Amino acid sequence: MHMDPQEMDTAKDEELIPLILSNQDHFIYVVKRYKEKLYRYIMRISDFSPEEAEDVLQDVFLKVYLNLNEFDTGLKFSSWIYRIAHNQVINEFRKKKARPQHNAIDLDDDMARQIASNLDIEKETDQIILKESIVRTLRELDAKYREVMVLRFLEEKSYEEISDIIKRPSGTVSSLLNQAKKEFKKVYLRDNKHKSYVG
Amino acid sequence: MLDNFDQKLLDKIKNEQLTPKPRWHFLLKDYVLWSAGLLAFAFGSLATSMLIYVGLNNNWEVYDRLNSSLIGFILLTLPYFWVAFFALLVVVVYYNVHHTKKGYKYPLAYILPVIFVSSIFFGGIFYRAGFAEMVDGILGETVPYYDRFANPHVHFWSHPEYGRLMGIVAEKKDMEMIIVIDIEKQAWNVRLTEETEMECPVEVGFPARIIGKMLSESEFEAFRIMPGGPGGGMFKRYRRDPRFMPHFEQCQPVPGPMGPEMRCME
Repeated sequence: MHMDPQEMDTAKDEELIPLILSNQDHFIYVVKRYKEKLYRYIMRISDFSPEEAEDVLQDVFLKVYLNLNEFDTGLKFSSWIYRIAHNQVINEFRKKKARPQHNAIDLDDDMARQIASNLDIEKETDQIILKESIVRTLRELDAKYREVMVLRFLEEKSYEEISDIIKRPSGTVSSLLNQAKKEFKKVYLRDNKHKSYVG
Repeated sequence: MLDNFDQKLLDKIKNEQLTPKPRWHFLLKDYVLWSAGLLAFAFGSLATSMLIYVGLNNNWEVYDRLNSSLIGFILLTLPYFWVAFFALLVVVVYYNVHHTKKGYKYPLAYILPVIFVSSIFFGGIFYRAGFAEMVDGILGETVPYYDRFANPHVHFWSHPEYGRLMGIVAEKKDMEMIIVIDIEKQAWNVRLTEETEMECPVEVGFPARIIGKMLSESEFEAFRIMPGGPGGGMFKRYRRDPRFMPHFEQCQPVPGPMGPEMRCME
């Protein structure tokens, strides 16, 4: 099977795998597709510095490359690559023996609005304040809750995809997400109580 | 950030001559995982069949004649080794299922009942096929300290002072007296009376459980005689011991008044 560079850019992830196995240079197409997304994801769920996150990202892609033959076509490639990133971050936590602190959660206006409406939290008129409050709340959440919140609202993954990424049953993901929302709301309202009185 | 990331990554792959692991590597991993899981499941089913065998041969109908409450009887005769072995194998099977490609999709609350029910199903088949009795017999006859870790029946039934005696029939003196060798290798003259209930023919070389009354340090009156059951295999070791059964090798089954019996050359 042969594809020109334009076709490679538009090919499905799964179609790229046999091409990479026959020519390692084609791995660059997977890297280009996922490096920004995964870098952002790693930063969102960890306390790594940008340099550390880049190192972790490199390890993630090396694992993806080395384990290409393990990829199961019954799974979405994006879920598989996110799973590897998730596992690599956990491995790094263990090595560092540090609790993730979150120092770089980036959030755009749409995401902030989506979280606010989904969790039925007070709507700040000022988008900047709303975003800051949400980011601060996410930072405070327990790691298990933060990760599913990040995957659901920031990475916009479905329940099925989250289940495949963190390797938990869908029902567990669902209840984890419900608990995470409750916890988020509780922390958010506690931290923003004074604003209601001021407002 | 991520300046020149792609090129650095590709250079690393090329410089270190990294190549994807071959497909057989992952197939082998899957194969080992499934095989270990199936093996653990088979042993788990065997453990279940042992529990069924021990449970069904626990002489529930006579526990009230054994100076023991039902709870006490259960606690004294529960085969803890097989329960623990079964529990361990359930954990191993769960671990293997959970680590298969799609195993994580199934919650513990779904996997555990499936393992339990299928173990009972296959354990029942193993039991019906006679595996449990055979395995118990082989283990009893060959494994050191079998009575101490695998089968509490032997010790439960080895209390002549409480009216429980277990051993191998070494000799039939006459219709009213047999010699039984117990776990301590002590010979007991066991008296049979007209009231003695015989659940099985008394045969030389075969284990038996006896409910009765201790008359002296070496005499026992039998009220009821039952087959050896679980743990009985232990006493078959004495067949090879010339101190107890010097002529067992020459024993032959012959028809007797209470069914077939072993006649041994003196």
